[in-house]
Amino acid sequence: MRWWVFAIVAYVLLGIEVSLADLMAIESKFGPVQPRFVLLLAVFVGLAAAPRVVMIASLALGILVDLTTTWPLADGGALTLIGPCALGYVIGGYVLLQVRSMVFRQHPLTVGSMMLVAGVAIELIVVAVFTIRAWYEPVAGWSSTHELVLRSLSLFYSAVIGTMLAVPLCALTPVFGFPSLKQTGQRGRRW
Amino acid sequence: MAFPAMTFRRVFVVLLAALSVSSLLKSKYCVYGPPLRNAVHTVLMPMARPLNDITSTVRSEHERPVLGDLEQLSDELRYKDALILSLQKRVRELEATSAELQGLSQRLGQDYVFRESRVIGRSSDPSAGTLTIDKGASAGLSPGLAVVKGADLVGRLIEVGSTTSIIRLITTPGELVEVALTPPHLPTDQSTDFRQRVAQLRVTGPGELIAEDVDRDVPVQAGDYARLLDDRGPGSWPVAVQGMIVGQVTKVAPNPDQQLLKTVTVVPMRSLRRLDVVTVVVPRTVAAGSGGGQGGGP
Repeated sequence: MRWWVFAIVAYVLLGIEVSLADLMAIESKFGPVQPRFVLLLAVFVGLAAAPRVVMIASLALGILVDLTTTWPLADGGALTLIGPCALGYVIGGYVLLQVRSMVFRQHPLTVGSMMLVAGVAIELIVVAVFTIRAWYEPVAGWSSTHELVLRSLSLFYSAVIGTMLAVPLCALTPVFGFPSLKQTGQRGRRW
Repeated sequence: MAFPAMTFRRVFVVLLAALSVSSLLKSKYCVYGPPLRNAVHTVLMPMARPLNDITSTVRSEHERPVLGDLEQLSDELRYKDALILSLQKRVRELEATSAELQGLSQRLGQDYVFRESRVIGRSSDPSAGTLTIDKGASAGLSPGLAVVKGADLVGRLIEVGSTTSIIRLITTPGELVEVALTPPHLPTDQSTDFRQRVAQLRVTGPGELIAEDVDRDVPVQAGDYARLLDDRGPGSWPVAVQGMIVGQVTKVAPNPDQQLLKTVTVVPMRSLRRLDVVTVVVPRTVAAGSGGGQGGGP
């Protein structure tokens, strides 16, 4: 994979996620349901790149998402930490590596459905981490059930948006310089 | 004793273990977070700022003319009209902001300076519900300062980097705010004691605050304002923002559990998560002490 292409696309999608995603948010009684653009890139790379690259890219994207999220704590403080999303994205990347040999990787619908699969893994990790943290340093207003519902809605929304955006993204495959499917297929489960 | 060979897999597993530990660190040990966050936001600023402008423009009531079967010149004329309307609206907004800031300045005397800041982003995870602004310690900001938009209370700074800061909104779940429930137009004779109308608001849902312990006899009705009256000692809101509007009462209903009380629902006057420009109220002593930053009182 060409890392500079990945860096540019990650920069653009992260910029969109922190600014433009709110425009696309759907208000619900659980909070804003908004698409995850960085997840789209993680899944796109996760479906096509070499296993080792997938893990590094997932880690990098997870760290970036962690660093663009500051959590308000119940005691009035703030928390910016590297970990929950980084862990989640790495686990999500690993899940993708396990299932990608069973799907048509270049199909937009695959990107959408895999966003659901990887997204579930990521969100479960994030919710688990903050639920454990709630025992000794709770985030303001944290409720696991509420978060699981809101994040599930966001994932469905992201999958729909992701399916549509996967069409232009799949066209960028040659620019990313991914290895051929045969190559990644041979090493599908080893990283 | 020989160490096992360093493979990618082993290094990665160690990294995962480190991330797991890092995820569970208490905030006082996460000292690396704020500077790294500030760096990422600073790098993202050139990308996020124009996108935020687009977001603000699209959200405004300005509507582009419908293209299609109309003649090209007519389309162009409509577009220009819409553009002029949009610019006139922006001018009115700026004039209103200027007037509000002048009013604030007169009200607060010369003890405070105002730092107008642009919102450059929201947290990647919408559950966090924080806003990032484009000013930080270099502009004299520090954690705890109140953030307003005109006469509306927005929140306060919880994390300040060198060039960016994070705002915790008053609509953050779990937030408690003490307010006075007043008529929209305050009487000028100062005869009414609003301390009898104090209520404690609790955030219950997205953009909604509820007070469940308002005395049944307190004369409050839909349309009244909830104004900040929160001076509960250390950690309370600065004096400068006492009296600022937290929101408008949208519903008053009897408390089903306690017949002597009633429940008051308050909604902020504007969607705080979607603000594009806010004002940070900085005590002049803090601003002078920091020695940096541009701009002062309006």
